Amino acid sequence: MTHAEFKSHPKGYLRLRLAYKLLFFSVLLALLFIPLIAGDYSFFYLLLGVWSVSLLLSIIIEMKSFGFRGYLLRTHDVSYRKGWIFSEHITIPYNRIQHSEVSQGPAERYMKLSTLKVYTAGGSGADISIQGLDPEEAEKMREWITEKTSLHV
Amino acid sequence: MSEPDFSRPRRQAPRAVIILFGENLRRMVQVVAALVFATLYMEELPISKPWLIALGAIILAVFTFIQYSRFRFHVTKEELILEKGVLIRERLSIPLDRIQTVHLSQNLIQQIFQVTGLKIDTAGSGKEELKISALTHKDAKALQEILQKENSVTAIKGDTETIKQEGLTKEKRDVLVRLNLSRLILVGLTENHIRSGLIAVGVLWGYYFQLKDVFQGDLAEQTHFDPNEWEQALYMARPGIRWILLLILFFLIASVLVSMFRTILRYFNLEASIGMKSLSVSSGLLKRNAYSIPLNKIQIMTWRWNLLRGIAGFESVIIKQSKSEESSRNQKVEIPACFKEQTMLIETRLFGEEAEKEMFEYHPHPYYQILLSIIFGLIGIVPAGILYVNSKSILVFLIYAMYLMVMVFWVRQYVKRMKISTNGDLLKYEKGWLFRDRSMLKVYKIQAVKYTQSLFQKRRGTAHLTIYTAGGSLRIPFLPAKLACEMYSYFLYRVELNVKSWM
Repeated sequence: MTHAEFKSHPKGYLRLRLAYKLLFFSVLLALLFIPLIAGDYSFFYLLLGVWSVSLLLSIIIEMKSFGFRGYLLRTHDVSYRKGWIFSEHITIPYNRIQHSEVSQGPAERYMKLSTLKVYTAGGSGADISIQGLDPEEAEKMREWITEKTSLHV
Repeated sequence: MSEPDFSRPRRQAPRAVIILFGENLRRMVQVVAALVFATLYMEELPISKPWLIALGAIILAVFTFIQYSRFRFHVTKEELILEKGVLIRERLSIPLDRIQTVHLSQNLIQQIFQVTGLKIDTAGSGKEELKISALTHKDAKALQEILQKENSVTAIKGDTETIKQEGLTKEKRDVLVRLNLSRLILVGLTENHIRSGLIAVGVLWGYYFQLKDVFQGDLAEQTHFDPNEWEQALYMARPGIRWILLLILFFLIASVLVSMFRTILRYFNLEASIGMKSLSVSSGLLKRNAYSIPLNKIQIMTWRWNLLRGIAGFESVIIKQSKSEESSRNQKVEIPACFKEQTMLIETRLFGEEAEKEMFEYHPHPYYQILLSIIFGLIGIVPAGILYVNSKSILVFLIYAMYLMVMVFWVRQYVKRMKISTNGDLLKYEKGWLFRDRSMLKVYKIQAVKYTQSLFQKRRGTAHLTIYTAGGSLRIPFLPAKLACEMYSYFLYRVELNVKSWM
């Protein structure tokens, strides 16, 4: 698929994603200490090794994949692509959009980011959710999509 | 006979009180049953006192009566209006052009009291499905017609007059299928038994774990039954090859029985007919369902064929309409036992216009066959390994070799028959060898297209293409990447050009 023209997310979104990842791995680390209480040191070191390798790998994958994330609003459709090892590329024409909305979770609010969601009918799993957008940009995109969608109804 | 009038607020048929009481009772019994489990360990069950049961029944009866009298509905020019609620009163108004499907159903109690329930589905809104529990059959039919007539009028603008005159149910119809008892049994015998068997195993498995939890409590001590011991005994009995064959035989017989049972429940007295504008199906033994589907609301049509059905000379048709998020299961309507003639009739009615232009055929990337063979080969190693450890028999290698041969042949046939064909208006996707599926959809009904590719696939130049409609999606695996890419753009182009209503 063509990779030109796609707009990438602001850097803040990468920071947010990495923060989520670190949170997840620190919970895992806490769990690792359970065998330590039982005094099983060798098992603990083994798990610690696995833990650090997977943390490193997952950070590398996350950073690498971030370059592949991007969205594109064309005259007749909206697209989103993501993923490096497993890449995904989805497009919804404006004349098939049911509605769109901008939302913001607590973590996103802290990082000053927004999510744009685009819905199609029937809950077929074809909806696009673009997280980690600049709030102003997200609002502008929503307005553009709403305007384009209303042309068809 | 006067036509039923829906323009002023009205209640359901008086018999609805009984139906509603039944529904409430069932809900309450469910709650109470949960409580019983929670209090199983108490010496005395507090809810078993007769005065408590009587009190509960009275409260339920009063509640039901208020519920009945507060539930009112009527149809205005543009909206269906429902008023309901016992503690919190609600007034729902549903624009008629938002209504996707209206279907009638009768469960056993409703059949006994001769009333019909009506369910209304509005796609995409994510709201719950709307339900009117009990109408007289005549009213239900009339209301269904009014609601669906309105929505097909809005769908086909400009053709309003003719539709208003004809009405959906009064048009000339061709009978597709009428299942008599012998045909019904034939349908049951030719179901996909392996699937029925697996479903049954899944259900039993769930129950087994629930029961196990109960039995491991005090009850287990009283009855001297220890599930762990039972499991150990099973383990000790080391499955030999003969034992496994016996198990497979038992599984097959049980599966056929389950298929028969399901078929009779679902398809008893099935009647399906098709007109120029709609298709209707009614069936069911304990629970009767009646669907009337406007043809322009059909999203995907799938023909399902298996070897047994092939011998009997028919296949089943599955109709997918747009569904709301809540009720994803209900919107699939199946007509079993369609012979060549009926299949052709449905195909020309639905896709006649779209099928005019020449279709082009495409096949998956040859690499798909190699990958599938490797995957299934590896999957087979696990049971073969377990069997070898248990039996230490050289025979296992022979069986595995046979498995490999059959599997490679199967995969070859499967991939060879996988085919996607299109002419820009119509999309047809075929797959399967002994179990075949053939899906058809109109290209302008597509809502979104997805292209997925792993790094691994990128190197081989292949990708998956997924096509979404309001009634579900089609995933076409391992197409040549270039072709997938071209189809992606081409389908989008066709959809973006289109101005027809797609839902």
